[in-house]
Amino acid sequence: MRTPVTRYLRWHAADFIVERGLPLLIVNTLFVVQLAVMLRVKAGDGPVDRAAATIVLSSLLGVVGFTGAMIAVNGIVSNDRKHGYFRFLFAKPVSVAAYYALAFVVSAAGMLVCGAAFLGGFARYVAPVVAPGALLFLMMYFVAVGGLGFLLSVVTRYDWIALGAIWVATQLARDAFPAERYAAAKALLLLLPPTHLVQPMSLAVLRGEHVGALDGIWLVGYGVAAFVLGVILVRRRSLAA
Amino acid sequence: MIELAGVSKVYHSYLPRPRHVTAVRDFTLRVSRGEVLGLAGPNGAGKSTLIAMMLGYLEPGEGSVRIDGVRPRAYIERHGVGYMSELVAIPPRWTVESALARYATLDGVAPADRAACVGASIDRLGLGEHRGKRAKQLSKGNLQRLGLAQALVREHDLLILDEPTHGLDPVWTQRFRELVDAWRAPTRAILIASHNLDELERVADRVAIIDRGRLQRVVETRRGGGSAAAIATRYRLTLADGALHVAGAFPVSRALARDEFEVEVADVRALNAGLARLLSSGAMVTEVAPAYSALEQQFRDAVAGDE
Repeated sequence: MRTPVTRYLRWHAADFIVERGLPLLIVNTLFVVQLAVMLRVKAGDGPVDRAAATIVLSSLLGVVGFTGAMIAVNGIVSNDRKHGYFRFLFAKPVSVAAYYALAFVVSAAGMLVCGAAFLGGFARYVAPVVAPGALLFLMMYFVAVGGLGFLLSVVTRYDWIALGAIWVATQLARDAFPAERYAAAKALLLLLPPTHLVQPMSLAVLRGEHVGALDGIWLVGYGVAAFVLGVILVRRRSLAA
Repeated sequence: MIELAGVSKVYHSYLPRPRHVTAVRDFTLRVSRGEVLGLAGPNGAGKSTLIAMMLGYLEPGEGSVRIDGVRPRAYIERHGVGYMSELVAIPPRWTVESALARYATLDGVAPADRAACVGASIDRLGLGEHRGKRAKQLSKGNLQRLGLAQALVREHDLLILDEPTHGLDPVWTQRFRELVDAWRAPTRAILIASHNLDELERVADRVAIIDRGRLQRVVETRRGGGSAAAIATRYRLTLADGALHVAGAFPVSRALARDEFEVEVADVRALNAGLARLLSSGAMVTEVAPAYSALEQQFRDAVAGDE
Protein backbone atom coordinates (compact mmCIF):
# COMPACT_ATOMS: atom_id res chain seq x y z
CA MET A 1 0.00 0.00 0.00
CA ARG A 2 1.39 3.39 -0.99
CA THR A 3 2.42 5.61 1.92
CA PRO A 4 0.67 9.02 2.04
CA VAL A 5 3.58 11.40 1.56
CA THR A 6 2.07 13.90 3.99
CA ARG A 7 3.32 11.64 6.78
CA TYR A 8 6.78 12.85 5.84
CA LEU A 9 5.79 16.50 6.27
CA ARG A 10 7.55 16.98 9.60
CA TRP A 11 10.83 15.68 8.17
CA HIS A 12 10.60 17.98 5.16
CA ALA A 13 9.91 20.88 7.54
CA ALA A 14 12.84 19.93 9.77
CA ASP A 15 15.16 19.69 6.76
CA PHE A 16 13.98 23.07 5.49
CA ILE A 17 14.60 24.80 8.81
CA VAL A 18 18.11 23.41 9.23
CA GLU A 19 19.33 23.47 5.64
CA ARG A 20 17.53 26.48 4.16
CA GLY A 21 15.48 28.38 6.71
CA LEU A 22 18.41 29.44 8.86
CA PRO A 23 20.53 30.63 5.90
CA LEU A 24 17.48 32.50 4.60
CA LEU A 25 16.92 34.24 7.92
CA ILE A 26 20.58 35.20 8.09
CA VAL A 27 20.51 36.66 4.57
CA ASN A 28 17.29 38.57 5.29
CA THR A 29 18.67 39.90 8.55
CA LEU A 30 21.75 41.16 6.72
CA PHE A 31 19.48 42.94 4.22
CA VAL A 32 17.56 44.64 7.04
CA VAL A 33 20.72 45.68 8.87
CA GLN A 34 22.26 47.07 5.70
CA LEU A 35 19.12 49.06 4.89
CA ALA A 36 18.76 50.32 8.44
CA VAL A 37 22.31 51.61 8.47
CA MET A 38 22.05 53.12 4.99
CA LEU A 39 18.74 54.93 5.50
CA ARG A 40 19.51 56.10 9.03
CA VAL A 41 22.83 57.56 7.95
CA LYS A 42 21.05 59.38 5.14
CA ALA A 43 18.33 60.63 7.49
CA GLY A 44 20.81 61.92 10.07
CA ASP A 45 19.05 62.80 13.31
CA GLY A 46 15.62 63.03 11.67
CA PRO A 47 13.17 60.27 10.89
CA VAL A 48 13.70 58.06 7.85
CA ASP A 49 11.85 59.39 4.81
CA ARG A 50 8.98 56.96 4.31
CA ALA A 51 8.67 57.54 0.56
CA ALA A 52 12.39 56.89 0.07
CA ALA A 53 12.14 53.80 2.29
CA THR A 54 9.25 52.51 0.17
CA ILE A 55 11.26 52.84 -3.05
CA VAL A 56 14.28 51.16 -1.49
CA LEU A 57 12.11 48.36 -0.13
CA SER A 58 10.41 47.84 -3.50
CA SER A 59 13.83 47.42 -5.14
CA LEU A 60 14.94 45.07 -2.43
CA LEU A 61 11.76 43.02 -2.39
CA GLY A 62 12.67 41.52 -5.75
CA VAL A 63 16.19 40.72 -4.52
CA VAL A 64 14.85 39.18 -1.30
CA GLY A 65 12.29 37.21 -3.27
CA PHE A 66 14.83 35.96 -5.78
CA THR A 67 17.57 35.01 -3.31
CA GLY A 68 14.95 33.53 -1.00
CA ALA A 69 13.46 31.36 -3.73
CA MET A 70 16.90 30.39 -4.92
CA ILE A 71 17.99 29.28 -1.45
CA ALA A 72 14.64 27.60 -0.79
CA VAL A 73 14.63 25.38 -3.89
CA ASN A 74 18.33 25.01 -4.63
CA GLY A 75 19.11 21.31 -4.98
CA ILE A 76 15.58 20.30 -4.01
CA VAL A 77 15.76 17.34 -6.42
CA SER A 78 19.30 17.46 -7.79
CA ASN A 79 20.90 17.10 -4.37
CA ASP A 80 19.30 13.69 -3.79
CA ARG A 81 20.34 12.56 -7.25
CA LYS A 82 23.88 13.92 -6.92
CA HIS A 83 24.50 12.23 -3.57
CA GLY A 84 22.47 9.09 -4.29
CA TYR A 85 20.07 9.69 -1.38
CA PHE A 86 17.16 8.83 -3.67
CA ARG A 87 18.18 5.17 -3.68
CA PHE A 88 16.89 4.36 -0.22
CA LEU A 89 14.10 6.97 -0.22
CA PHE A 90 12.39 5.67 -3.32
CA ALA A 91 12.77 1.97 -2.61
CA LYS A 92 9.93 2.74 -0.20
CA PRO A 93 6.29 2.71 -1.33
CA VAL A 94 6.04 6.41 -1.94
CA SER A 95 5.38 8.53 -5.02
CA VAL A 96 8.54 10.31 -6.16
CA ALA A 97 6.52 13.17 -7.64
CA ALA A 98 4.43 13.63 -4.50
CA TYR A 99 7.54 13.53 -2.30
CA TYR A 100 9.18 16.40 -4.17
CA ALA A 101 5.95 18.34 -4.63
CA LEU A 102 5.51 18.30 -0.86
CA ALA A 103 9.10 19.46 -0.41
CA PHE A 104 8.31 22.37 -2.74
CA VAL A 105 5.18 23.33 -0.77
CA VAL A 106 7.18 23.21 2.47
CA SER A 107 9.80 25.46 0.88
CA ALA A 108 7.09 27.92 -0.17
CA ALA A 109 5.69 28.04 3.36
CA GLY A 110 9.19 28.43 4.83
CA MET A 111 10.07 31.18 2.38
CA LEU A 112 6.85 32.98 3.33
CA VAL A 113 7.74 32.85 7.02
CA CYS A 114 11.24 34.18 6.30
CA GLY A 115 9.75 36.89 4.05
CA ALA A 116 7.36 37.91 6.83
CA ALA A 117 10.31 38.11 9.22
CA PHE A 118 12.13 40.35 6.73
CA LEU A 119 9.16 42.69 6.29
CA GLY A 120 8.56 42.75 10.03
CA GLY A 121 12.22 43.56 10.66
CA PHE A 122 12.13 46.32 8.05
CA ALA A 123 9.00 47.89 9.56
CA ARG A 124 10.41 47.65 13.07
CA TYR A 125 14.02 48.75 12.54
CA VAL A 126 14.13 50.75 9.30
CA ALA A 127 10.86 52.51 8.50
CA PRO A 128 7.23 51.75 9.34
CA VAL A 129 6.30 50.66 5.81
CA VAL A 130 3.49 48.17 6.35
CA ALA A 131 2.11 46.58 3.21
CA PRO A 132 0.14 43.34 3.60
CA GLY A 133 0.33 42.88 -0.18
CA ALA A 134 4.12 42.63 0.04
CA LEU A 135 3.86 39.16 1.50
CA LEU A 136 1.52 38.12 -1.27
CA PHE A 137 3.97 39.54 -3.78
CA LEU A 138 6.81 37.51 -2.21
CA MET A 139 4.66 34.41 -2.46
CA MET A 140 3.91 35.07 -6.13
CA TYR A 141 7.54 35.75 -6.79
CA PHE A 142 8.51 32.53 -5.04
CA VAL A 143 6.14 30.57 -7.25
CA ALA A 144 7.65 32.17 -10.37
CA VAL A 145 11.31 31.71 -9.43
CA GLY A 146 10.83 28.58 -7.34
CA GLY A 147 8.78 26.83 -10.01
CA LEU A 148 11.53 27.41 -12.55
CA GLY A 149 14.14 26.41 -9.94
CA PHE A 150 12.26 23.17 -9.31
CA LEU A 151 12.19 22.35 -13.01
CA LEU A 152 15.90 23.08 -13.35
CA SER A 153 16.66 20.94 -10.30
CA VAL A 154 14.93 18.02 -12.04
CA VAL A 155 16.90 18.40 -15.26
CA THR A 156 20.35 19.49 -14.13
CA ARG A 157 22.73 19.15 -11.23
CA TYR A 158 23.79 22.76 -11.62
CA ASP A 159 20.35 24.13 -10.93
CA TRP A 160 21.15 27.29 -8.98
CA ILE A 161 23.75 28.38 -11.50
CA ALA A 162 21.30 27.70 -14.33
CA LEU A 163 18.53 29.58 -12.51
CA GLY A 164 20.71 32.61 -11.90
CA ALA A 165 22.00 32.58 -15.47
CA ILE A 166 18.51 32.33 -16.98
CA TRP A 167 17.15 35.11 -14.76
CA VAL A 168 20.01 37.50 -15.47
CA ALA A 169 20.10 36.65 -19.19
CA THR A 170 16.35 37.24 -19.41
CA GLN A 171 16.66 40.65 -17.80
CA LEU A 172 19.44 41.58 -20.18
CA ALA A 173 17.46 40.29 -23.16
CA ARG A 174 14.36 42.23 -22.13
CA ASP A 175 16.40 45.42 -21.75
CA ALA A 176 18.20 44.94 -25.06
CA PHE A 177 15.18 43.85 -27.11
CA PRO A 178 12.04 45.46 -25.74
CA ALA A 179 8.95 43.65 -27.05
CA GLU A 180 7.38 46.95 -28.16
CA ARG A 181 10.20 47.59 -30.62
CA TYR A 182 11.17 44.08 -31.65
CA ALA A 183 8.06 42.19 -32.74
CA ALA A 184 10.06 39.09 -33.61
CA ALA A 185 11.43 38.92 -30.07
CA LYS A 186 7.97 39.13 -28.55
CA ALA A 187 7.14 35.43 -28.86
CA LEU A 188 10.56 34.41 -27.62
CA LEU A 189 10.36 36.75 -24.64
CA LEU A 190 7.04 35.19 -23.71
CA LEU A 191 8.86 31.91 -23.10
CA LEU A 192 11.34 33.57 -20.76
CA PRO A 193 10.62 34.35 -17.11
CA PRO A 194 8.57 37.57 -16.62
CA THR A 195 11.42 39.40 -14.91
CA HIS A 196 10.14 42.77 -16.15
CA LEU A 197 7.05 42.51 -13.94
CA VAL A 198 8.93 42.26 -10.66
CA GLN A 199 9.96 45.86 -9.97
CA PRO A 200 6.68 47.56 -11.05
CA MET A 201 4.63 45.00 -9.17
CA SER A 202 6.58 45.31 -5.93
CA LEU A 203 6.40 49.12 -6.07
CA ALA A 204 2.65 49.05 -6.74
CA VAL A 205 2.10 46.60 -3.88
CA LEU A 206 4.06 48.73 -1.42
CA ARG A 207 2.22 51.88 -2.46
CA GLY A 208 -1.08 50.08 -2.08
CA GLU A 209 -1.84 50.56 -5.76
CA HIS A 210 -3.78 48.22 -8.02
CA VAL A 211 -1.77 45.39 -9.60
CA GLY A 212 -2.93 44.15 -12.99
CA ALA A 213 -4.54 40.72 -12.75
CA LEU A 214 -2.97 39.66 -16.03
CA ASP A 215 0.50 40.52 -14.73
CA GLY A 216 -0.15 38.51 -11.56
CA ILE A 217 -1.41 35.54 -13.57
CA TRP A 218 1.59 35.74 -15.86
CA LEU A 219 4.06 35.79 -12.97
CA VAL A 220 2.41 32.95 -11.06
CA GLY A 221 1.36 31.02 -14.16
CA TYR A 222 4.92 30.92 -15.42
CA GLY A 223 6.13 29.34 -12.18
CA VAL A 224 3.20 26.95 -11.93
CA ALA A 225 3.76 25.76 -15.50
CA ALA A 226 7.47 25.18 -14.82
CA PHE A 227 6.66 23.38 -11.57
CA VAL A 228 4.08 21.10 -13.21
CA LEU A 229 6.54 20.29 -15.98
CA GLY A 230 9.12 19.50 -13.29
CA VAL A 231 6.69 17.16 -11.52
CA ILE A 232 5.93 15.35 -14.79
CA LEU A 233 9.62 15.00 -15.57
CA VAL A 234 10.62 13.80 -12.12
CA ARG A 235 7.99 11.11 -12.48
CA ARG A 236 9.13 10.01 -15.93
CA ARG A 237 12.85 10.60 -15.89
CA SER A 238 15.26 7.91 -14.65
CA LEU A 239 16.54 9.00 -11.26
CA ALA A 240 19.91 7.36 -11.76
CA ALA A 241 20.42 8.66 -15.31
CA MET B 1 8.58 -12.41 -9.23
CA ILE B 2 11.25 -10.48 -11.17
CA GLU B 3 11.41 -11.02 -14.90
CA LEU B 4 14.14 -9.58 -17.04
CA ALA B 5 13.54 -10.26 -20.73
CA GLY B 6 16.21 -9.39 -23.28
CA VAL B 7 17.34 -6.39 -21.27
CA SER B 8 20.07 -4.17 -22.69
CA LYS B 9 21.44 -0.86 -21.54
CA VAL B 10 23.92 1.38 -23.31
CA TYR B 11 25.36 4.49 -21.67
CA HIS B 12 25.98 7.38 -24.00
CA SER B 13 28.28 10.32 -23.42
CA TYR B 14 29.19 12.96 -25.94
CA LEU B 15 31.87 15.07 -24.31
CA PRO B 16 34.80 15.35 -24.79
CA ARG B 17 34.09 12.82 -27.57
CA PRO B 18 31.17 10.50 -28.28
CA ARG B 19 31.31 7.27 -26.26
CA HIS B 20 28.82 4.43 -26.06
CA VAL B 21 29.36 1.82 -23.38
CA THR B 22 27.19 -1.28 -23.29
CA ALA B 23 26.63 -2.07 -19.62
CA VAL B 24 24.06 -4.86 -20.04
CA ARG B 25 23.22 -6.82 -23.16
CA ASP B 26 20.37 -9.17 -23.90
CA PHE B 27 19.97 -10.26 -20.30
CA THR B 28 17.16 -12.68 -19.51
CA LEU B 29 16.54 -14.04 -16.04
CA ARG B 30 13.68 -14.84 -13.71
CA VAL B 31 13.79 -14.63 -9.92
CA SER B 32 11.02 -16.59 -8.23
CA ARG B 33 9.35 -16.18 -4.89
CA GLY B 34 10.87 -18.42 -2.27
CA GLU B 35 14.38 -18.32 -3.68
CA VAL B 36 17.59 -16.55 -2.83
CA LEU B 37 19.40 -15.64 -6.02
CA GLY B 38 23.01 -14.51 -6.02
CA LEU B 39 24.35 -12.17 -8.67
CA ALA B 40 28.09 -12.40 -9.18
CA GLY B 41 30.41 -10.72 -11.60
CA PRO B 42 33.70 -8.85 -11.81
CA ASN B 43 33.87 -5.08 -11.38
CA GLY B 44 32.08 -3.30 -14.19
CA ALA B 45 30.22 -6.45 -15.21
CA GLY B 46 26.85 -4.66 -15.14
CA LYS B 47 25.48 -5.78 -11.77
CA SER B 48 24.68 -2.30 -10.46
CA THR B 49 23.10 -1.24 -13.76
CA LEU B 50 20.96 -4.35 -13.66
CA ILE B 51 19.85 -3.59 -10.11
CA ALA B 52 19.13 0.05 -10.98
CA MET B 53 16.84 -1.20 -13.74
CA MET B 54 15.13 -3.63 -11.35
CA LEU B 55 14.38 -0.67 -9.09
CA GLY B 56 13.20 1.51 -11.95
CA TYR B 57 16.00 4.00 -11.35
CA LEU B 58 17.16 3.35 -14.92
CA GLU B 59 15.09 2.42 -17.94
CA PRO B 60 16.41 -0.38 -20.16
CA GLY B 61 17.30 0.60 -23.70
CA GLU B 62 15.86 -2.67 -24.95
CA GLY B 63 13.86 -5.46 -23.39
CA SER B 64 11.68 -5.25 -20.34
CA VAL B 65 11.87 -5.53 -16.56
CA ARG B 66 8.76 -6.56 -14.67
CA ILE B 67 8.06 -7.21 -11.02
CA ASP B 68 4.91 -9.21 -10.49
CA GLY B 69 3.96 -8.33 -14.05
CA VAL B 70 4.22 -4.55 -13.73
CA ARG B 71 6.94 -1.97 -14.30
CA PRO B 72 9.37 -1.69 -11.37
CA ARG B 73 8.35 1.86 -10.34
CA ALA B 74 4.68 0.91 -10.38
CA TYR B 75 5.40 -2.10 -8.15
CA ILE B 76 7.72 -0.26 -5.78
CA GLU B 77 5.50 2.80 -5.37
CA ARG B 78 2.73 0.44 -4.34
CA HIS B 79 4.55 -2.23 -2.29
CA GLY B 80 8.12 -1.06 -1.68
CA VAL B 81 11.20 -3.26 -1.63
CA GLY B 82 13.90 -3.87 0.92
CA TYR B 83 16.88 -2.38 -0.86
CA MET B 84 20.46 -1.95 0.18
CA SER B 85 22.84 -0.25 -2.24
CA GLU B 86 26.53 -0.88 -2.66
CA LEU B 87 27.31 2.64 -1.47
CA VAL B 88 25.29 3.55 1.59
CA ALA B 89 24.17 7.10 0.80
CA ILE B 90 22.42 8.60 3.81
CA PRO B 91 22.58 12.36 4.51
CA PRO B 92 25.48 12.83 6.93
CA ARG B 93 23.42 15.00 9.29
CA TRP B 94 20.84 12.30 10.02
CA THR B 95 21.28 10.28 13.18
CA VAL B 96 20.84 6.52 13.13
CA GLU B 97 17.53 6.80 14.96
CA SER B 98 16.11 9.67 12.91
CA ALA B 99 17.22 8.05 9.63
CA LEU B 100 15.39 4.85 10.51
CA ALA B 101 12.34 6.82 11.65
CA ARG B 102 12.26 8.61 8.29
CA TYR B 103 12.66 5.41 6.30
CA ALA B 104 10.04 3.68 8.44
CA THR B 105 7.67 6.61 7.80
CA LEU B 106 8.17 6.35 4.05
CA ASP B 107 7.83 2.58 4.32
CA GLY B 108 4.30 3.01 5.60
CA VAL B 109 4.89 2.16 9.25
CA ALA B 110 2.04 3.75 11.21
CA PRO B 111 3.12 6.60 13.51
CA ALA B 112 2.02 4.64 16.56
CA ASP B 113 4.27 1.70 15.63
CA ARG B 114 7.22 3.72 14.42
CA ALA B 115 9.24 3.86 17.64
CA ALA B 116 8.89 0.12 18.25
CA CYS B 117 9.78 -0.63 14.62
CA VAL B 118 12.87 1.58 14.73
CA GLY B 119 13.91 0.08 18.07
CA ALA B 120 13.58 -3.45 16.69
CA SER B 121 15.67 -2.54 13.61
CA ILE B 122 18.35 -1.01 15.79
CA ASP B 123 18.47 -4.10 18.00
CA ARG B 124 18.46 -6.50 15.04
CA LEU B 125 21.52 -4.85 13.51
CA GLY B 126 23.28 -4.15 16.83
CA LEU B 127 23.22 -0.37 16.47
CA GLY B 128 22.03 0.38 20.00
CA GLU B 129 25.14 2.20 21.14
CA HIS B 130 25.21 4.26 17.93
CA ARG B 131 21.54 5.30 17.81
CA GLY B 132 22.29 8.96 18.57
CA LYS B 133 25.28 9.21 16.22
CA ARG B 134 25.07 11.00 12.92
CA ALA B 135 25.64 9.03 9.73
CA LYS B 136 28.90 10.92 9.14
CA GLN B 137 30.22 9.70 12.51
CA LEU B 138 29.70 6.02 11.74
CA SER B 139 32.45 3.64 10.72
CA LYS B 140 32.16 1.87 7.36
CA GLY B 141 30.86 -1.28 8.99
CA ASN B 142 28.28 0.53 11.12
CA LEU B 143 27.11 2.58 8.15
CA GLN B 144 26.69 -0.68 6.26
CA ARG B 145 24.60 -2.04 9.13
CA LEU B 146 22.48 1.12 9.07
CA GLY B 147 21.97 0.53 5.35
CA LEU B 148 20.81 -3.00 6.08
CA ALA B 149 18.60 -1.80 8.94
CA GLN B 150 16.75 0.65 6.69
CA ALA B 151 16.24 -2.08 4.08
CA LEU B 152 14.66 -4.31 6.70
CA VAL B 153 12.76 -1.69 8.64
CA ARG B 154 9.60 -3.33 7.34
CA GLU B 155 9.05 -6.74 5.80
CA HIS B 156 8.79 -6.82 2.02
CA ASP B 157 8.18 -9.56 -0.51
CA LEU B 158 11.27 -8.50 -2.42
CA LEU B 159 14.74 -7.86 -1.03
CA ILE B 160 17.52 -6.55 -3.26
CA LEU B 161 20.86 -6.36 -1.51
CA ASP B 162 23.89 -5.00 -3.35
CA GLU B 163 27.17 -6.01 -1.67
CA PRO B 164 25.49 -6.35 1.73
CA THR B 165 28.54 -7.70 3.59
CA HIS B 166 31.02 -5.23 2.16
CA GLY B 167 32.82 -3.70 5.16
CA LEU B 168 31.20 -5.96 7.75
CA ASP B 169 33.41 -7.75 10.26
CA PRO B 170 33.36 -11.58 10.40
CA VAL B 171 30.89 -11.59 13.28
CA TRP B 172 28.37 -9.50 11.37
CA THR B 173 29.06 -11.39 8.15
CA GLN B 174 28.04 -14.56 9.97
CA ARG B 175 25.06 -12.71 11.47
CA PHE B 176 24.06 -11.61 7.98
CA ARG B 177 23.89 -15.25 6.86
CA GLU B 178 21.62 -16.01 9.78
CA LEU B 179 19.44 -13.05 8.88
CA VAL B 180 19.11 -14.22 5.28
CA ASP B 181 18.06 -17.65 6.56
CA ALA B 182 15.51 -15.97 8.79
CA TRP B 183 14.15 -13.89 5.88
CA ARG B 184 13.65 -16.90 3.64
CA ALA B 185 9.97 -17.35 3.00
CA PRO B 186 7.93 -18.99 0.25
CA THR B 187 6.40 -15.62 -0.61
CA ARG B 188 9.66 -13.70 -0.69
CA ALA B 189 12.35 -13.34 -3.35
CA ILE B 190 15.82 -12.26 -2.28
CA LEU B 191 18.49 -11.08 -4.69
CA ILE B 192 22.02 -10.60 -3.39
CA ALA B 193 24.74 -9.11 -5.55
CA SER B 194 28.22 -9.73 -4.27
CA HIS B 195 31.86 -10.18 -5.17
CA ASN B 196 32.13 -12.62 -2.31
CA LEU B 197 31.54 -15.99 -3.96
CA ASP B 198 31.98 -17.90 -0.73
CA GLU B 199 29.22 -15.76 0.76
CA LEU B 200 26.90 -16.40 -2.17
CA GLU B 201 27.59 -20.11 -2.11
CA ARG B 202 26.51 -20.19 1.52
CA VAL B 203 23.32 -18.16 1.27
CA ALA B 204 22.02 -18.43 -2.30
CA ASP B 205 20.10 -21.22 -4.02
CA ARG B 206 21.31 -20.16 -7.46
CA VAL B 207 23.99 -17.75 -8.59
CA ALA B 208 23.76 -15.85 -11.86
CA ILE B 209 27.20 -15.00 -13.19
CA ILE B 210 27.36 -11.85 -15.27
CA ASP B 211 30.35 -10.57 -17.18
CA ARG B 212 30.60 -7.71 -19.66
CA GLY B 213 26.89 -7.20 -19.38
CA ARG B 214 25.95 -10.73 -20.42
CA LEU B 215 24.51 -13.52 -18.35
CA GLN B 216 27.24 -16.17 -18.60
CA ARG B 217 25.62 -18.96 -16.65
CA VAL B 218 23.38 -19.74 -13.70
CA VAL B 219 24.91 -22.07 -11.15
CA GLU B 220 22.90 -24.08 -8.71
CA THR B 221 24.74 -24.07 -5.39
CA ARG B 222 24.94 -26.95 -2.94
CA ARG B 223 22.28 -25.14 -0.96
CA GLY B 224 20.10 -25.14 -4.03
CA GLY B 225 20.67 -28.86 -4.70
CA GLY B 226 23.73 -28.66 -6.99
CA SER B 227 26.67 -31.02 -6.50
CA ALA B 228 29.91 -29.34 -5.60
CA ALA B 229 31.89 -32.57 -6.06
CA ALA B 230 30.81 -32.89 -9.66
CA ILE B 231 32.06 -29.41 -10.38
CA ALA B 232 35.39 -29.10 -8.60
CA THR B 233 38.31 -30.37 -10.66
CA ARG B 234 41.28 -28.72 -8.96
CA TYR B 235 42.46 -29.66 -5.49
CA ARG B 236 45.18 -28.48 -3.19
CA LEU B 237 47.28 -31.17 -1.48
CA THR B 238 49.45 -30.60 1.55
CA LEU B 239 51.94 -33.27 2.44
CA ALA B 240 54.10 -34.03 5.46
CA ASP B 241 56.33 -36.32 3.42
CA GLY B 242 56.70 -37.76 -0.10
CA ALA B 243 56.44 -34.65 -2.24
CA LEU B 244 58.58 -36.37 -4.88
CA HIS B 245 55.76 -38.81 -5.65
CA VAL B 246 53.06 -36.25 -6.47
CA ALA B 247 53.99 -35.96 -10.13
CA GLY B 248 53.78 -39.75 -10.51
CA ALA B 249 50.41 -39.99 -8.81
CA PHE B 250 48.77 -37.04 -10.58
CA PRO B 251 49.58 -36.46 -14.27
CA VAL B 252 48.60 -32.78 -14.03
CA SER B 253 50.06 -31.09 -10.98
CA ARG B 254 52.10 -28.07 -10.00
CA ALA B 255 53.98 -27.17 -6.85
CA LEU B 256 52.68 -24.16 -4.91
CA ALA B 257 55.24 -24.54 -2.10
CA ARG B 258 57.71 -27.19 -0.94
CA ASP B 259 54.96 -29.45 0.46
CA GLU B 260 51.92 -27.97 -1.25
CA PHE B 261 50.60 -28.86 -4.69
CA GLU B 262 47.66 -28.12 -6.92
CA VAL B 263 46.41 -31.11 -8.88
CA GLU B 264 43.87 -31.26 -11.65
CA VAL B 265 41.61 -34.26 -12.04
CA ALA B 266 38.58 -35.14 -14.14
CA ASP B 267 36.35 -35.98 -11.19
CA VAL B 268 36.28 -37.28 -7.61
CA ARG B 269 37.01 -40.85 -8.75
CA ALA B 270 40.22 -39.70 -10.42
CA LEU B 271 41.14 -37.72 -7.31
CA ASN B 272 40.79 -40.79 -5.10
CA ALA B 273 42.72 -42.96 -7.52
CA GLY B 274 45.56 -40.44 -7.52
CA LEU B 275 45.53 -40.23 -3.74
CA ALA B 276 45.66 -44.03 -3.52
CA ARG B 277 48.77 -44.06 -5.76
CA LEU B 278 50.34 -41.31 -3.70
CA LEU B 279 49.69 -43.03 -0.37
CA SER B 280 50.88 -46.41 -1.66
CA SER B 281 54.17 -44.80 -2.64
CA GLY B 282 54.69 -43.82 1.02
CA ALA B 283 53.62 -40.18 0.95
CA MET B 284 51.91 -38.66 4.01
CA VAL B 285 48.97 -36.42 3.05
CA THR B 286 47.84 -33.96 5.70
CA GLU B 287 45.19 -31.99 3.77
CA VAL B 288 43.10 -32.24 0.60
CA ALA B 289 40.83 -29.34 -0.29
CA PRO B 290 39.22 -27.98 -3.45
CA ALA B 291 41.57 -25.36 -4.91
CA TYR B 292 38.55 -23.21 -5.64
CA SER B 293 35.07 -23.51 -4.31
CA ALA B 294 32.67 -25.04 -6.80
CA LEU B 295 31.17 -21.64 -7.49
CA GLU B 296 34.57 -20.01 -7.81
CA GLN B 297 35.54 -22.59 -10.39
CA GLN B 298 32.37 -21.91 -12.35
CA PHE B 299 32.95 -18.19 -12.03
CA ARG B 300 36.51 -18.45 -13.35
CA ASP B 301 35.40 -20.61 -16.24
CA ALA B 302 32.53 -18.29 -17.09
CA VAL B 303 34.59 -15.13 -16.96
CA ALA B 304 37.57 -16.70 -18.75
CA GLY B 305 35.28 -18.10 -21.43
CA ASP B 306 34.31 -14.64 -22.50
CA GLU B 307 37.85 -13.36 -22.88
